[in-house]
Amino acid sequence: MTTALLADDEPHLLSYLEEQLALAWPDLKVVGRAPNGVEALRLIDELAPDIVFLDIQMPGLNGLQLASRLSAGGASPRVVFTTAHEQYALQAFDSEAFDYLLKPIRLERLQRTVDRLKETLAQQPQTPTSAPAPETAAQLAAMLRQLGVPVPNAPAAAAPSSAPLQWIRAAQGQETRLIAVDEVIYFQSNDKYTSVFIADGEHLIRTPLRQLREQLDEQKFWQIHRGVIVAAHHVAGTRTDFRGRLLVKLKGRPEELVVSRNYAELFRQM
Amino acid sequence: MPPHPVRANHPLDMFALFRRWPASTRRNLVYTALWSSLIGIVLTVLFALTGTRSAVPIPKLLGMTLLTSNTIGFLIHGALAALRRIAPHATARRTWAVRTCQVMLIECCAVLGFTVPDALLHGVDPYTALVRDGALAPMLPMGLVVTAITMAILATNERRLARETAAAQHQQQIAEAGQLLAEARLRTLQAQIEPHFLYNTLANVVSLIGSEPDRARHMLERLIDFLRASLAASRADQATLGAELDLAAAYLDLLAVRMGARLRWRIEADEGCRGVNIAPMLIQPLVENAVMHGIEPKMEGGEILVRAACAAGVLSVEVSDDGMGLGAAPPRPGGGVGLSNLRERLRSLHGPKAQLQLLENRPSGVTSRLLLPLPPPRPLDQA
Repeated sequence: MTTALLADDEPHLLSYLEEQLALAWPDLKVVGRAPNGVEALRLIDELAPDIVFLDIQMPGLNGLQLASRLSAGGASPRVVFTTAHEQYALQAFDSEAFDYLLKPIRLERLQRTVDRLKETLAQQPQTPTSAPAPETAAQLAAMLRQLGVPVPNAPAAAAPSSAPLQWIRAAQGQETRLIAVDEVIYFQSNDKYTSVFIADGEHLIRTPLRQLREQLDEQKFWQIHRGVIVAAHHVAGTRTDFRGRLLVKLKGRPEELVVSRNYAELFRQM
Repeated sequence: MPPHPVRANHPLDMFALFRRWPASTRRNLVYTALWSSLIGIVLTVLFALTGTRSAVPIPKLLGMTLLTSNTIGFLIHGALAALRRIAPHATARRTWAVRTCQVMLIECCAVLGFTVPDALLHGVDPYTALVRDGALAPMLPMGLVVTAITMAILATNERRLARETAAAQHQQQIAEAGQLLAEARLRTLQAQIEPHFLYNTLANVVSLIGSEPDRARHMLERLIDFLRASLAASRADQATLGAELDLAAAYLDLLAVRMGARLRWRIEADEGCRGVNIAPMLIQPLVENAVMHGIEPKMEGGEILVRAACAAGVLSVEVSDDGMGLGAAPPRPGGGVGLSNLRERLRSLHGPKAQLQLLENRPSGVTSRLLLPLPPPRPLDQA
């Protein structure tokens, strides 16, 4: 008897798919239902179903990521994607999907898929996959990124440690403020601490400036002084004061920052 | 660059007629000749009427007065222009130092203007005429009168200019706020007619019709509530906190049906706050973020809590979740988490009085805190 596993994070849609399948293919045995990608992967390993119906947007592992893992691991089930939107159709076929169903799923459409599945399974009960198996998680993640799939929970190796910082955590009383790096106007070294200046104020963080510099995108943040790093897109212009020092004027903050001689070249070419 | 570049204004700019020509060096020189001659003519008429200088024949009196008034006029014109050239920043800021300089310059010009042409006409060396005992004394009060009048006109004109600039800036701010609101409306509309949201919701309705028709009907009703509220919000300039929270409730209710046990939510608002006027669509993006970045990517799901309170002139709306947190959120295409438009709208609506803070929750999740200045209480008859 042919077996199937269904995965969808929306419970009503999962039940409905099962009802529709019962009508379209009464002989099919649904051996498992998974509310997320991780659970689906575990159940597929355990139950080895012939067919999996995968929702694409799921927490943990999304359907596309899951399918890539399946094709990487030897004998693999036929994958039918279900989704509410065509956005992923191309990617789905790239990952050797058997079919692609749009939700809400129509019975006639599902029937066509079922008929084709029956045909294929009758001809060749099991196909070893021809897709090259990615060897490491990093390769898998890279492959997924190439497909344009966001990889939120991929293993640590998937996110290179050199990725620029996105969020800064700053203690504020009992609370921890989250500051988007794009919001920062400049950083100023303050002993062991660093002051983070944004449009509505100043926040102190524990990371020393030197350490912070390594985590920032060099294209977007310029060091203009031993103790100051400024966000390029917040620079309004420069001027020279009566002592001949180069000053940077900022968008969003009134103060001007001194550019030390070593870094003045940065602006000379502008 | 000074905040407003110095716009040389002229006493004649007092009259709307003369403001029709844009300020330029040439125009101002012509205006000075016109202005000085006008004063000269008026003074001659006054002298003739009061009979103060009856000894001098009128044409000669007119000539003398015109010469004096034009000399004074052009001297002041030159002196003030030089001051603007030397200290443009200070002039733009109208510091006390600049004011003092202006007073002294005008006084000197007036005294010189009264003395020098007169002395030259009478064939006297102007220097001798100036320093001759007692000659300067009667000139000083006359100079003071000229100074007072000129400064008064100057200050009035500057104030009018400042007022016009401020009005123009205000207009621009209103236009900017309008544009941002239009963008926010478009974005919200796009988000609601966002295919995933709409199709997934409808797919849920279809899936429930057979098995749980009551639930399906409830869901359709909530979808209608939500679409109606968001369409209304996307067309209005003002909404109430209550209406915005109802919109959030309809949205969360729909998602809670879809996500089942994975999403729990609560809205807690002070009853007194619900009638407060706020700009539409400030809260909805925060709720959507909490769902999209907080709860949806988290396998076990979580809770969203929306709290609104007003105290000490500030309306505080907090949207908290115990989801994935932003640190784990992959950077969204289009930059950030879609909060930059919201921040810009806040800035153009309320300036620095409004704030959007993001806080990290323990053990997990994010709180978005919106702080808005409370509008002054509405008169009851309008409510």
